[in-house]
Amino acid sequence: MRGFAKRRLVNLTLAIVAGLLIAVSGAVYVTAVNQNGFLTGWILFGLVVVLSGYHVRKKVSTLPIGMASSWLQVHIYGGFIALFAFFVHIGWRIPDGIFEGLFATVFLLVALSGVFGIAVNRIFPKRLARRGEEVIFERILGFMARLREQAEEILLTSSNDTGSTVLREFYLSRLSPFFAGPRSRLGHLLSSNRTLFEIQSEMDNLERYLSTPDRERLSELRYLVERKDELDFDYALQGVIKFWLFIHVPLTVALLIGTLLHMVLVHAFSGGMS
Amino acid sequence: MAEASQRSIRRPKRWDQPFGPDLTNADVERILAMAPFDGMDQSRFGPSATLRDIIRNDARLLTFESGDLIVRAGDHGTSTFFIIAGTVRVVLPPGLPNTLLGRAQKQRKTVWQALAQVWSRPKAPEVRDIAKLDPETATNIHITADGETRTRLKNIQDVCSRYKTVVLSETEMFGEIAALTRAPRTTTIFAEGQVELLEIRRPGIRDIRDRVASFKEHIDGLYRQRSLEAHLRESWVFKHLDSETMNLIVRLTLFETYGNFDWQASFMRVAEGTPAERLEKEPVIAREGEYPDGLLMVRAGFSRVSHEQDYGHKTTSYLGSGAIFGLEELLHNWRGEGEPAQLQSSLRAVGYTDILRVPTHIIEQYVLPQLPADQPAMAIERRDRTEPAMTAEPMPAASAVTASTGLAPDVVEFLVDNRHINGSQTMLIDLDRCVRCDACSEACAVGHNNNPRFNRHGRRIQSLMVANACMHCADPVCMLGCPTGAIHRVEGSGEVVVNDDTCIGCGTCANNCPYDNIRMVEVRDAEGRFIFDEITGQPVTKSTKCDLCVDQIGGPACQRACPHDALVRMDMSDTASLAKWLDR
Repeated sequence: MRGFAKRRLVNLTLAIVAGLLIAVSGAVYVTAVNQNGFLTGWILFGLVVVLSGYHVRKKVSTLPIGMASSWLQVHIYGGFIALFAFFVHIGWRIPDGIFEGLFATVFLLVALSGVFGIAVNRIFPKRLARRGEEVIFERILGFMARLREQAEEILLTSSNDTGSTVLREFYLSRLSPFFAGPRSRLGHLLSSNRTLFEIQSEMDNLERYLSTPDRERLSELRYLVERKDELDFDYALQGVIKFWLFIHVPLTVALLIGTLLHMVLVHAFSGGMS
Repeated sequence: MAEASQRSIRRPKRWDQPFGPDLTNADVERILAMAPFDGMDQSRFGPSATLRDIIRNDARLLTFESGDLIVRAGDHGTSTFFIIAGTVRVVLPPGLPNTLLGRAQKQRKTVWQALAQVWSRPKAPEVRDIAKLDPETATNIHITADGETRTRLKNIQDVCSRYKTVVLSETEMFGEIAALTRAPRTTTIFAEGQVELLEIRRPGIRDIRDRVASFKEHIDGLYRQRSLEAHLRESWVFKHLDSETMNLIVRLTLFETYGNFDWQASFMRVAEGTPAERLEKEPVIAREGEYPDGLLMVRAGFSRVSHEQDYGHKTTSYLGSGAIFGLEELLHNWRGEGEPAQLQSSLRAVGYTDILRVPTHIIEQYVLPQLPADQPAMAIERRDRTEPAMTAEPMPAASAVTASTGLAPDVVEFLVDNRHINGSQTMLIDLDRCVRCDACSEACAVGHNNNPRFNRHGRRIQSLMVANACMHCADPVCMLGCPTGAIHRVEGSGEVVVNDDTCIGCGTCANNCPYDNIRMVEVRDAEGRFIFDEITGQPVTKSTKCDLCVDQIGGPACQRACPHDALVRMDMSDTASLAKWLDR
């Protein structure tokens, strides 16, 4: 068994064991003390604190407090354990109060965005690597602007030289919006190359109306279209990899605030042993 | 028409760029009249490279003042020094402390200092303490009238009384072993009073060694006496042999050098050629199909192991210092297992390679009968994993393939062609796992005053990227020619680091680095304003590179900060670990 598969098996086993321990200890606690959700609530709180610690670890990268990759493993599998503990805590039922419902929704959204993040982080890098040379995310818009300038220069040369209206109209109607900024984000995320295919087909059809010099210019534009499509691909995938955290992290902050509020409410309104 | 537009130039010649300013005829005559040159038979030198030519073009005269450091222990140098006038002092082990040599003292940050980096970083890039940059107050560096930069020991009486030293005087030489073997200098030597030295660069020394028997005997004798046994004992093949046998082997071992010592100068040009062109430029050390006339051991540099496949050559592995080649064929022939085996692979010098060749009869008589029981079994087991030889008869595989890498052939080709095999801490990024989050760059910046010391960018093969980060090379060509010794290896751990206080920003290291992993930066004061040289008015520059977080308590921050196990610092000689990392 190779390295990652072995690690996955070990971590999964540990997570299942931890989940079972939580379920059993929660049940025993309820039977012994007859106080629903108290133990699992504190376990859940501890887990949420540990899971949030990963973000702190990322910020203090200069301290020798373990590899970030180990922390991420704890974060991932701890997240699954927390999800299980959450269901144990709420007794596998749909919350009925407004606050309870809202709080549970936030928890589930944090968990779901986390799972989405794992999937994105595992799938998209491979797709990016297969595509060949890629551009650093922060520089993509700059490269796009440069391509747009090159395309406009080709069109201006054509206008001055042959005065082709066909090429000009095609550019204005089809290529100008394409070069204006990132395009086909959803298409690239779903591995569709429909936009590129359509533009290329239209360019093929256009060729019959063009003079020889404009045909050469069309071929140059075709090259720029392909480069732009590659940048769109990088922008779409790298963008999702970067920005899913903008959902996960704020929701986590909301969850932490909600958790504190929930704890205060629970203790304020608990009238001792029922 | 094509011919008319062709541009032609005069073919570059060996001495187009002499070592130093041209020596006068009187200088050359004076040198030739001195020992040891007066005793050399000049008829042994060919007309294309006479001893006079060598002195004129491969040598230069240098003057050092009292206390000036001439060579430092640990520096990499490519030249030998002859004392023309005056005396020098050799500092005996344990040598001078780093502070006296112009090097930084390795000092790790405390936990608090490490944590404080998170919020106490300057906002502007490359901020320096201006007081430290002032050579008058901070260092003992001075510039001579000829523009040479020197480091001077301020109180040599104190140095002589506190450290053990010996004196070398006129006609004696030093630095020859380091120059010829590319090993680090073993001692520090400084001028005692004014001293005039003749410095001869390596090609000149190599020619003299090749043509003057007494000189060769002297140098080889020194090498045999000081280093050879230790080099041979690095290999499991020789490790267990008794002193008497080792003495015999040491006496009969041949030294050979292949390739270009200054490989870094032509590396980029060579790397851009076709595979066939690259191979053509790599001198053959041992050719596939030839009878193994000895056991080869790589003493320094790197070599490519390849075998013919159809119309090309397939690289199967690479060998670095201490690796051996040809053992399995020798073992097979000695055991008399079937037909005598020829070499199953070729060995070529990548850049340059120093080889120790232990003749076959010595190996058969003294080494093979005493091979440790466990090791040969391992070697034979490895042999089974090799590819079938392209001959009619089944043949045993070459030992180089026995040291099989476990890596895909295209990865091996990529690593060898781009000389990434030189790295002892090469930054590898698995693009299948890297989420482009830049946690590595950010962690690096936190540890270096807000200045990341590498680029998350570099050459790649499939999903493996070799990032532009200092590889802390086994053959650190960046260290050649640093005038102040600012770039040096950390004692013990071996990281290549730059002492910012003594770096004069000359850019020699950055120009020498064939991987573009050293950046020259213009430095600023605490307010973010550029700092200028008061004489030239030019911005003050410093050499910067990855220092492997040598002053951080947790080691390389880039690797520790990667949450996805996508980044690793890898010793490229450890192919087993590399293969394991790639096949996770």
